Amino acid sequence: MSILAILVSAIFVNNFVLQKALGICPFLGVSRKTSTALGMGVAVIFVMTMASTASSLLSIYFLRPLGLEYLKTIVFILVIASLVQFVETIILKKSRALYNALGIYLPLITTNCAILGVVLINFSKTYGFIESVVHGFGAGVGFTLALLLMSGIRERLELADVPESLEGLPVAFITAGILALSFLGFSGMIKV
Amino acid sequence: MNSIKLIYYGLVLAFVAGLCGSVLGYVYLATKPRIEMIKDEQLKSSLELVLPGVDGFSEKSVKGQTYWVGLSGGKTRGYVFKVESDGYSSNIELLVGVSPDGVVQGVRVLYQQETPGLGARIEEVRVGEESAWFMRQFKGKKGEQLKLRKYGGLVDGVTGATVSSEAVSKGIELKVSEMLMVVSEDG
Amino acid sequence: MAKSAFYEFYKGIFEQNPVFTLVLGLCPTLAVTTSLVNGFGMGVATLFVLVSSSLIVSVFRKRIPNEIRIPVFILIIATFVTSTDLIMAAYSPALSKSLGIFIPLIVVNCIVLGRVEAFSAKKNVFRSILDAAGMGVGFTLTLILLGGLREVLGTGSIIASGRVLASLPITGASAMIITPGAFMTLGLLLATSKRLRRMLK
Repeated sequence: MSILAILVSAIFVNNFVLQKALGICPFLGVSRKTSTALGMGVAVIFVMTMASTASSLLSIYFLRPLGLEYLKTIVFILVIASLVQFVETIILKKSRALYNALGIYLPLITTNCAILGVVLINFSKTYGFIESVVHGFGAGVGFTLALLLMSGIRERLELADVPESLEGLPVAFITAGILALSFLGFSGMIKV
Repeated sequence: MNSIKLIYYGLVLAFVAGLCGSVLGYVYLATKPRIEMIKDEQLKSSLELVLPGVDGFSEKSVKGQTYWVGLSGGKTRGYVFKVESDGYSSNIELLVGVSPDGVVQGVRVLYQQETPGLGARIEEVRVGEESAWFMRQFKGKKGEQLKLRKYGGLVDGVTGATVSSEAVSKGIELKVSEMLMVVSEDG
Repeated sequence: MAKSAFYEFYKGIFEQNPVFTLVLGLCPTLAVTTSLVNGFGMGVATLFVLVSSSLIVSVFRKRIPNEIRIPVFILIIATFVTSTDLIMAAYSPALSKSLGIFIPLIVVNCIVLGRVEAFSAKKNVFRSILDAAGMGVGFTLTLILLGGLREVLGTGSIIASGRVLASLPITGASAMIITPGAFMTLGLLLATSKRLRRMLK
């Protein structure tokens, strides 16, 4: 697949949150306010791109040549955990406010299934180095896009009169479902 | 004090990692034979499904394309090859079996991600039947017959799934004629 | 010991259901419940990983240094997850194929890491196993419910090993099978469970 196709596909057609259902936990946890959503999104883009880079190199030069493909899960998750630790330290130094706002969700980026997900997909589709990096970046952008759209909607939902049983998570899920439906309009744009 | 702790932690981690790696290595080696066997069986059964009635298959490769020759008693009974087509929302991959004179013996879907309820119906199996009705149509047809009815052929498309149906039909028709030429060159 | 051992087990089914109450493990819940069988397979795999990881962590909980506990937990969980993946590929290839990357993704399923960190690392082996088993069973039941619902409303019937288990006289809305359907079904189920819990109070 061409690089542009991979990019567009990851952001719109196969949006990680709205089509693949990956990265739901942070998606729901952080999408209440647009400012934190943006901060989280940028952190995820960074971690996804770096994780795709590192894991791609590890796959090409270590896992596949030595027939150690079965170790991919362990290797990849350790790479991601280290990267998140690294990002956490940087955010702590650069912006205390963002660090506090993200709170527990920052270390939870490690368990963000979207990050391990994109890395595993890169591996199973045997993407080359550049394709992996572009895919990782695109997936992060798509995640951020979905996050920002959700936070904009949820900020308004907070002020709306929602029936008690639906308040909070249930209506957020239904909203996400409608958002996902709208993204279906992108299918057919790119061949998968 | 701090660096001793660091070294100690590093060692503990390395120890745990080593232990986990060994356990995993053991499970991997224990399951490897079965996994390989399943892969081979799946390939064999796919080949047999699209080209039934042969004793065995031999894999050949020409110009980077892999195809299989179906043999019975040393004689060539047919060929099996992959077809890749641009569907509506995915690349459709098929396995097609064909007799030496170009009559399709069977078609199997290897991969498709078309719209559920529409394009995905190319794989739909009707209640009480064993295989996909759309794919079954290609059996016993050759050349122009492989086209959709609206283009003069004998194949009915899936209602509401024009792009998917055409992709499959065109893909099969073109690839069959292409492969017959390739095979005759290969000898 | 205030809570009975049995409580540690059955709390995971309703009162502290991982999906409906604790809101954990959402990714597989949405992505894998396209059919009852898929939901069941995923649930059982997760149950296995939960119980075995909890067991090991609980046995060694006093020996694992606090500062490196998370990487150690991850290593242990990842080992069991990869083992499950390999065993599934060898003995249940069809299920392994339909669950795809979601089996390795069990390693980042917040339920597993969450229970290991919150419970097994602190409590004794017996209770840890019960807690893990309860959570795993609760999770599996939830996946079966969601998977069954989506499959029957999406295709009109529930199919297992090539046999029809149940069917409705409807054609089915394919929107249920795809992601939007998953979101909305889960949203409605969450609202229902919220309502039920309020009514039972």
